[in-house]
Amino acid sequence: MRLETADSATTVTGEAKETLLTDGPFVDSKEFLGGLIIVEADDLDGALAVATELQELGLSAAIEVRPVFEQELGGA
Amino acid sequence: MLEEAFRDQWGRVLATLVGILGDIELAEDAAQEAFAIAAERWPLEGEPANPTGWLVATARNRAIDRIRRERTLALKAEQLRHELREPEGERVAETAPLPDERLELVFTCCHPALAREAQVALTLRTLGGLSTEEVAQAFLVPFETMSKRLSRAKRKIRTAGIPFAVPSANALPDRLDAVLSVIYLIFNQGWGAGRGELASEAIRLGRVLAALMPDEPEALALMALMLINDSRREARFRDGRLVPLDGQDRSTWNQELIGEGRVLLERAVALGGAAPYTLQAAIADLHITEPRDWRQIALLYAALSRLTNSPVVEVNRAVAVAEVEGPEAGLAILDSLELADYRYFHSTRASLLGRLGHGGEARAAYERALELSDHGPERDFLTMRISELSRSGE
Repeated sequence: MRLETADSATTVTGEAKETLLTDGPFVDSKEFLGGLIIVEADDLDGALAVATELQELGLSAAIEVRPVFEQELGGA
Repeated sequence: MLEEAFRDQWGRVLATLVGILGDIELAEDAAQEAFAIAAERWPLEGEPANPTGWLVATARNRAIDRIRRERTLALKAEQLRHELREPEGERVAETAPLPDERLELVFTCCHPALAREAQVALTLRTLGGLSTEEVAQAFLVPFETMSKRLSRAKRKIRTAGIPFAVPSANALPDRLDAVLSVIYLIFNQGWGAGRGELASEAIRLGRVLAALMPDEPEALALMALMLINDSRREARFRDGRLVPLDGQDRSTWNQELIGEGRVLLERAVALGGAAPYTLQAAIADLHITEPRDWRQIALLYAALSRLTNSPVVEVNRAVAVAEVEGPEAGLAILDSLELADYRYFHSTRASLLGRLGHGGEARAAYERALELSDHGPERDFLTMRISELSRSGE
């Protein structure tokens, strides 16, 4: 599986009821990747709704949302 | 003449094409081609009965041709052929009623996953019909920079899957706020620097939005606010100099704009509007009403300050409170704020200090405001104040 390029990313930060969207990837070299969750959504709003809900649990510093690169499987 | 008609059509045609083609870039190229053909033919053959329908049908057909031609998009062409197959052909499509999808387009362009500067540029380009060159000039950035900014934004809309839709009711208030701020930012960019064409562009966009959302008090209120402020466009400058409200020649205020603004404001209030733009429009209206009701203005600023938590609003409240309770009361509000980099904070402080007879401090505050000010008329105004203080004081 591949992710789309960084300029397709949107970052969700902040906490309950105060989440904030930022254009672009999460850039903070001191941080590390805490996990990867794959969700299926109709569009960016669907994906952001999931990310915002997760963010409101107050579990992490930021969530970066990126589409999965859609590829035709060879021979399929 | 034709150009003006095209500008009015552009947003409408483009929005419909995005709805059909599902891609802004593709829609833009096709629309551009159709407008070019129209510019050639209409003057000779006359305008078609349904110009919007003609433009959409022509652009759509061009887009399909182009997709067919491009091998790399072969698959997409297949899909489109299925979706768009219409046995009746072009003539029917021209007269068929077209859905107005400008609202969908404006919400796509002002999606919060795009940076604010990209939202502004895209909105001006797609709905306002400004060329990339014109958008670049409006924001004083090189053409290349603006061109990159626009293509990057369009690419993000495509790859990230930013929807072409009006947000659901629960998301609407937040999303509408973003749209309103984009339009107001365009207005202020023009207004602050005395560039009328940009302010007019914002009003044009605001008018479209107010027409598309006639029951949305904030959309109406923003329009009212812009119209009431814009009514003083002529009066704000004299010989290239900024003229404060009290010194303005009221006979040059555009009464028609004021009237239209007041009607919209009344409707916003009747619809229960009590949010930031409704309050700001009400304040703008009070400012141009004689005699000025400073007490009411101060109260509205207080309400606005509670809603927005903005120190900039507090600066304005300080001005109103100074009129009601005296300069000391205004200064007390200013001294509680942390706005060292905001030029109007310093110029407001300077004017209140001047009224209290603290010439030296006032001058220092004007000088600080001057350091932070970047455009001509405002700088001239501040320089004039400083020299007045130098003459009267010391």
